[in-house]
Amino acid sequence: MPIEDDLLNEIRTVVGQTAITTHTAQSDLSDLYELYVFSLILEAAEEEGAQCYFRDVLGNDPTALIFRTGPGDIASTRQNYTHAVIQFPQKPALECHIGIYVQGQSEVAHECDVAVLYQTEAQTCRANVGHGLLPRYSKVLIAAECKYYTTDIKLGLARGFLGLVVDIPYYYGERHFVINQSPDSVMKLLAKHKKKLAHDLIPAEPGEVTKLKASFRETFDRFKVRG
Amino acid sequence: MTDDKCEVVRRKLEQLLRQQHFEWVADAVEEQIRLGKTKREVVEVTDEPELTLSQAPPASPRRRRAPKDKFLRRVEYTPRERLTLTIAALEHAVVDAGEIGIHLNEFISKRTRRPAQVLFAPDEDNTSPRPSSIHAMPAKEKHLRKLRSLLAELRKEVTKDAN
Repeated sequence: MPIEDDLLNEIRTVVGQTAITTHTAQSDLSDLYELYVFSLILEAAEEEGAQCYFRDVLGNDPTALIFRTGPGDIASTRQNYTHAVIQFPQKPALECHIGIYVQGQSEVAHECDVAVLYQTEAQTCRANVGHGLLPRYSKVLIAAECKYYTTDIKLGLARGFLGLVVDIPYYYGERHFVINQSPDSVMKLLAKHKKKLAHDLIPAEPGEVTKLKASFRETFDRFKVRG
Repeated sequence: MTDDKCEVVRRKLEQLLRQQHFEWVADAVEEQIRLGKTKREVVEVTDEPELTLSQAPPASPRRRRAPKDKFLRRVEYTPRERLTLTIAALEHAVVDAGEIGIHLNEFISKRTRRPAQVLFAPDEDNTSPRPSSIHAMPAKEKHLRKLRSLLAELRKEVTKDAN
C-alpha cells in the first residue's frame, strides 16, 4: 500500500478521536480564539505584577463564566457576562472584556473583540444601564481584533482594522490585529501602515505568543508608570 | 507525490472533513480553490496610443523597447497547493483549535476556586448559553499531538518530489 494511503488511514482514525463535534461553524473557533487572546492579556498583566480575577456584570464572583459570541453593550444584563478585573498595586483598576461596543472618535459604535479599559469607565456605563452608554475610545488601553480562519484571511479584514484604528486612536495604549496565520497581503498592508500585527498566534508557535505577550506587558508597564 | 495522487488524497481529506461535521471547513477550502491566487509578474506595457499610418514617424534605425511594469495575475492553485491548503485547514480546525482549548482549560482552572463551566452566548434575547468545548480538550492531547505529526508527514510526502 502506498505511504499516502497508510497516512490517510491513520489520519482518519486520529481525527475521529480528536474532532470536537460542537465546533460546527467558523464562529465557534472565533469565540474560542477571542477567549485565547483574553487569556494572554491576563497572563501578561499577571507577569507585570497585577492581580486578575473574574467578575460578572453585577460585580459578583461568577460560578459559570459566560462570554459573548457577538458584540454587545458592556452593561448588558441579557446574560450574566463575565469580564476580568486587572488590579495593579496602587493603580486605577482595569477591566478586560470580550465583544463589547466602544464609542469611536466619529461618535459611531465599533465592536472590539477584546478590550482592556479603565474600570471607572466601565462602571459609569453599568451605572447608566438604561441609557446604553458605550465606553469612550480614549479610555480603552488595549483593543485586539482577533481573526481565526481555517483558510486564507481576507485582505478586507485588515482594511477594516485600519479603519477601526483611525476611529479609536490611542495615546498611551495599543491596537492589535491578531491572526492565526501569516497571509502575505495582510502582512504587507499592516506593515506598510505600521500597525501592530500578531500573526501565526497559536500555542504551537510559542515565539509568536511570547512576542504578543511582551507587547501587552510593555503597555501595562507604561500604564504602571503613568497611572 | 504526483499531481493526480495529490488530487485523490485531497478528495479523501475533504470527504473526511465532511464526515466529521467539518462541512464548513471543506466548503471554505473549496471557495478558496475556486477563487485561485494572485501571482506577480513583469509585463510589457502598451500604454501609449497606437499611431495611425499618417502619424507614424519615419522608420528609425533604433527600435524602442516597450516599458515593463509589475502586474498581478489571477492563477489557479496547482493540485499540490490545493492539497496543502486542505491539510492546513484540517490542522487549523482540529489541532490548533484543540491546543487552544487545552491552554484555556488550564488557564481557567488555575484562576477559579471551583471548576467553572465556560459558556458562550450572543447578546440577544431568548438565547441560552452554549457550553464550550474546552473541558473536553485535555483528554485529547495525545491524539492531537499524533495528528499534528501525521499531517506534517503527509505534507512532507506532498513536497517530496516537488522539485
